[in-house]
Amino acid sequence: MSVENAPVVDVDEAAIPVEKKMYYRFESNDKKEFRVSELAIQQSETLNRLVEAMGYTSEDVENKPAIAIENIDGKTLKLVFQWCEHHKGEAIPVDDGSVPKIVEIPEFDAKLMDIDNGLLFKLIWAADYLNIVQLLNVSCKKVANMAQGKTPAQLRRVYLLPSDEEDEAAKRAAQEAQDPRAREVEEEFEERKRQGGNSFF
Amino acid sequence: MTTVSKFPLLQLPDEELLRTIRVMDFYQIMSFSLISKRCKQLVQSLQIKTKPEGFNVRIDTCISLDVFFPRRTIKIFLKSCDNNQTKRLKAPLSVKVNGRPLERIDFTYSDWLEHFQTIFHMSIYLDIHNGLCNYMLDDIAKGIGAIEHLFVRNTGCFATNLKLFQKLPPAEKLTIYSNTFQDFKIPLNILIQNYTTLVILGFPPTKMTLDELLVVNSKEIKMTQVKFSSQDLNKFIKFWMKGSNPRMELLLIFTFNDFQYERTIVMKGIKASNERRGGTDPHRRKDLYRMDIYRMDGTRATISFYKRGFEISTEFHHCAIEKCISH
Repeated sequence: MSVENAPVVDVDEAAIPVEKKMYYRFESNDKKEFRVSELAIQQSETLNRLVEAMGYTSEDVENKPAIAIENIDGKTLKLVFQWCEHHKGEAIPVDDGSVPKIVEIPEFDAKLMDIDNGLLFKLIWAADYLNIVQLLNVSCKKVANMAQGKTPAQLRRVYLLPSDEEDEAAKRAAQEAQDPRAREVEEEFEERKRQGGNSFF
Repeated sequence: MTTVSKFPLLQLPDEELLRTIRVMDFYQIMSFSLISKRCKQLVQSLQIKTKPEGFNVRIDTCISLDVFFPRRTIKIFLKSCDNNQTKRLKAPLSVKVNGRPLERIDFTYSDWLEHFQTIFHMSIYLDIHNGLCNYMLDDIAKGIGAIEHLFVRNTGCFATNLKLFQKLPPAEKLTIYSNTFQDFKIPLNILIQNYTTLVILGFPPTKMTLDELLVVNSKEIKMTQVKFSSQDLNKFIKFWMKGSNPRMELLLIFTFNDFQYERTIVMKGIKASNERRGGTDPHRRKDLYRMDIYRMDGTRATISFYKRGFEISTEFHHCAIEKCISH
C-alpha cells in the first residue's frame, strides 16, 4: 500500500507505552560501579547473554547488587563501556576471514585509545573476555600499526619477541621444569640405542 | 635518544594475537614472519590464500616473485649482483616487496623462496629464463617445494637446462621450449614423465617423430609450432587404438601458419564413425572436420581436423579445441 493511500488514524499518545531505557549496573574488580545502557551492552556478546540469562527487571537492577566483573579493573572497564555507549546500536561485524583484514580506526576510537601500551594491553584482554568484536578489531589494529615502517629487528624490540635461540632455551627450560626425569630417561634411551638394543621397554 | 614503545604481543590471547597479525598490511605481515620460526608459524596459521596458480617465480638474472591475492598482487624482487653477474652469490643483495625492503641477513636464495612459499601455502609456477647459470641451482632447488607449473626456457646453457630436471622437484605441469635442448630434441626421459599437462612450444618450429610421441606419458599434450608427418600421425592413431599412450586424454597439435594435416593420409586404414563437419557449438569453426574412433577397451575419442590444427580428445577430456586455442 502506498503512503498516500494509507488510512489516517487518530492516535491517543497517552495510550502508547513509553519504552523505558534500562541501565544495568556493573562493578569492576576494584569496586568501581558503572551504569550501562541495555543497547550498549549488546556490543558485548558475553554481557548480553549474561543479562538475558539473569532476566532482570528495572527494579532488580536497582535493588540487587551490581553485576561483578571480577577480572577487569575500573580504569579498563570505563574505557570498554565508553566505547560501547558510543557505538550502541551499531551492527556487530561478521568476520569474512580475509587476510589482510581491512580495519579503519574511527576518530572517537583513536582518541579513546590514546593510552599507554599497558592499558591498551588490558583493554584487549577485557574486550576478548567480554567478546566485543569491533573493539577487538580497532584495538588490535592500533597494536598492528606499531609495526608500520619497522624492520624485522625493530619489530622484535617493539613487540618483545624472542629470537629462535631464546624460544629454544625457554622450551628446554619448560620441559625440564615440567619433568625433571625427562633428561634421565632420554639419556637412558640414547645409551641403550648405542648398545644396539632394539627394545627399550 | 628516542624511546621505543613496547608491547608484549605474545602475551595477548591467541585469538587476538592472530587478529593483530591479520589486520597488518602485507608488508608488515611479511616482515613479521621473518622475525623468528614462531612468528613464521603464526603467519602460516593465518592460512593466507592466493589465487590458483597465484605464486609465480621468474628466474633470470634476478629472481622475481608475483603473488596474486583475490584483491591485490604483491611483487617481490630478489636482486643479484649488479656488475659481476658470473659471481655465484648465496644470498641476494636486497629483497624488496612492492619496492619496500625486507631484511633477513642470514637468508640465502633458497631460504627466501622456501619462506615465501611456506607462508603463502602455495605450490608455485616456476618460470625459468636465461640467466639461471648465475645462481646456484642446488641452492634454488633446495628452497623450492612443490611446483605446480614449471615453465622452462633456454637458460643459455644446455647442461644447466638438463640439470634443472634432475635437481628440481617434479612438477604437475611442464611447459617447455624446444630450443631448451640440443638439436631441439627433448630427451625421452623428460617426455616419459607423467605430467598432468605437457606443453611443448616449438621455437623455432620443430619436427617431432612417432617414437617421441609414443613415449609421452602425460594426460594433456599440447604442442604449438610442432609438426609430425601425416604418416606418423596415422600410425600413432592406430597404436593408440591398440592401447598405446593409455593416460592420454588430449593431444592438440597447433601451428601458427595455415598448415593443415592431410585427412585422407592421417585416417588411412582407420575405422572412424560419425563423421561430421563443423559443430553445433557456436564457437566451432566451419572448417572443422570431426569423427569418432574407438580404442580396443571401448574408450571413444574424437579426432578433429581444422585449419592450423589437429586434435585427439577422449571422452574423459573436457577441453574443447577453442578453449585450448584461447589459452
